[in-house]
Amino acid sequence: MLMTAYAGGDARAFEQLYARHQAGLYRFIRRLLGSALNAQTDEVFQDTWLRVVHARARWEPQGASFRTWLFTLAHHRVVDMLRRSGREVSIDAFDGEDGAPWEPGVNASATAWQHWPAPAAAASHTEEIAFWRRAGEKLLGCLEQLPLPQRSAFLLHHDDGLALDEVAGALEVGFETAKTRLRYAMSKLRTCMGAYLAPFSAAGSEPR
Amino acid sequence: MTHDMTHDPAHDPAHDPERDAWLTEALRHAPDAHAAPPAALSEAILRQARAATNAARAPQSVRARSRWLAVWDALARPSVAAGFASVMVATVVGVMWWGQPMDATIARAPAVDATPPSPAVDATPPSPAVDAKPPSPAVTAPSQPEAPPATPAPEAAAKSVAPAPPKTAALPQRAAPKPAPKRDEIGAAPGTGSVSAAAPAPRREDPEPFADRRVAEEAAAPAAEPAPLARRAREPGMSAAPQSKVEAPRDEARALGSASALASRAVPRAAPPAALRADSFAEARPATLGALLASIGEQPERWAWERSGTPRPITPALRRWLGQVEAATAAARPGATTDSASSGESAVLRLYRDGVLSATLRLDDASVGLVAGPRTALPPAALAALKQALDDATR
Repeated sequence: MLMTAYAGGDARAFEQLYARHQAGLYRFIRRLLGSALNAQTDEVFQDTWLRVVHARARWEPQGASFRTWLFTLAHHRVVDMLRRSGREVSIDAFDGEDGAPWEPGVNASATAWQHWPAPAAAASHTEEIAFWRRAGEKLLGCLEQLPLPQRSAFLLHHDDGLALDEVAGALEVGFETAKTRLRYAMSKLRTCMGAYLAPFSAAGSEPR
Repeated sequence: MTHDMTHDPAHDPAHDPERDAWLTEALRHAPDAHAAPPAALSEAILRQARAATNAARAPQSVRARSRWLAVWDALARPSVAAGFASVMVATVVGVMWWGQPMDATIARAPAVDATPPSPAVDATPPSPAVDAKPPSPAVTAPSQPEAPPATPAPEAAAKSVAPAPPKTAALPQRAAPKPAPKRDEIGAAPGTGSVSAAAPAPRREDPEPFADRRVAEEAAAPAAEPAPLARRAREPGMSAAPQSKVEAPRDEARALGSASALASRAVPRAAPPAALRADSFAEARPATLGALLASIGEQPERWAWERSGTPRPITPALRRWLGQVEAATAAARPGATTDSASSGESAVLRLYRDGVLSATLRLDDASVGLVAGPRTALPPAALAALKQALDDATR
């Protein structure tokens, strides 16, 4: 509705859209680009919004929501930026994968992440907050090790809260492809994060 | 640490087996979790978005302007422009014609058609009927105020029989403003009365009737009448040119009567005054030299003479000369009249009453007399003496 209003010439509708999505989009772009291209975040962010401005006349709210469309534009801009920077962008999300993605309980290190503190209780204790902050830092490092398709699928799903079908729509892939990318991403991240959690698990914190 | 995702059932990890709550929590606590675009960047984006909406309104006006330009371009195409110009010209002409009487415009055409026969009437041999037809176009045309100035005497004499189309063309506008005479009516009596009978009244107001009258007189003056003109004069419509000179006054009256009748048919409104003017006109035309002298003697101030273009008041010397002529013709042998004028050199004296040509006296090497009346043969010596006396009296 807001985008339709903006396409009709209502500038205040765009301000509302911007206020609603600017933080999530900025974070998505920043994490997708990684620490190496962190300085390009503003450029990609601005380009993405300008594309929204210029494409407002072509906006047709059929199927996908504005948020899905917005993240699709951002993803394209990030891919362009990575290619421009000389980085090889793998289209195949399963490059380097050998065998099935990691599943909880199957892998030997599966128990590591289960010793994390419960997310709902994270805010209650200062020690836990510090733990999650360190976990967050670690997770950002782990994210940069993921291929771009898996990273974008994980971020859209876990950070921006898109459902799997919306993730598939935003990445312009099939539902199963999006689901597989997400599983691979989670498997790698759990593996990566499991090593970090070992000292915390040794402290006796039990997950709920 | 509250997050919408934790309260949304769709995004609740319990409802989405693919969602890992621990990884999500780690993301929420990441150092860049609260990263936001710089305020300047946000302001720049919003400014550009507003500018885009403002610019979107401008092209609408540009599009509206371009539509007018497209219309203008369409009008500039030759075919459309020609049609548009035709409509504009028709409109302008219509506006210019607005309020003008339509009959005046219709009357122009018959007037032009009626012009050719009129010189034939004027060119008839000397007869009272010619003088009795003042309404002929050559005579009445000068009465139009808007008519061009009269042709100078030498020119008029040079084109003696030539018609005067412009004068006759303007005639019906004054003679019969409405309704206009029809073509068939005018064609039935060309140059006789239908057009000219209504004109004598304005003729009195005419400041310069003499030159054009002279054109008509000169047309009638030649001794050798052209055959075609004579034939035309004998046509039914030319009843104003009688065969017998003895019955000239009666024919004149008849001609005037027929002219009045035709005028009354063609121009009902102008008919009564036209008839009155024709009657007074007949009275002003003395048929004989004696009557002419008597009329001059009664009111000499109303009379003028003209020989070389400029009318002058009549003088006692000229009256004496007229008396000499009258005496000479009276002393001449009875029956010494002649029908034909001599082809030799002649002296012409025109007499005007109240500015209207009333008599033309011609003196050639064989006879003397009024153009419209009987001529008297005199001895050459007497004629020469009269010519000399005329030159002296009109010097």
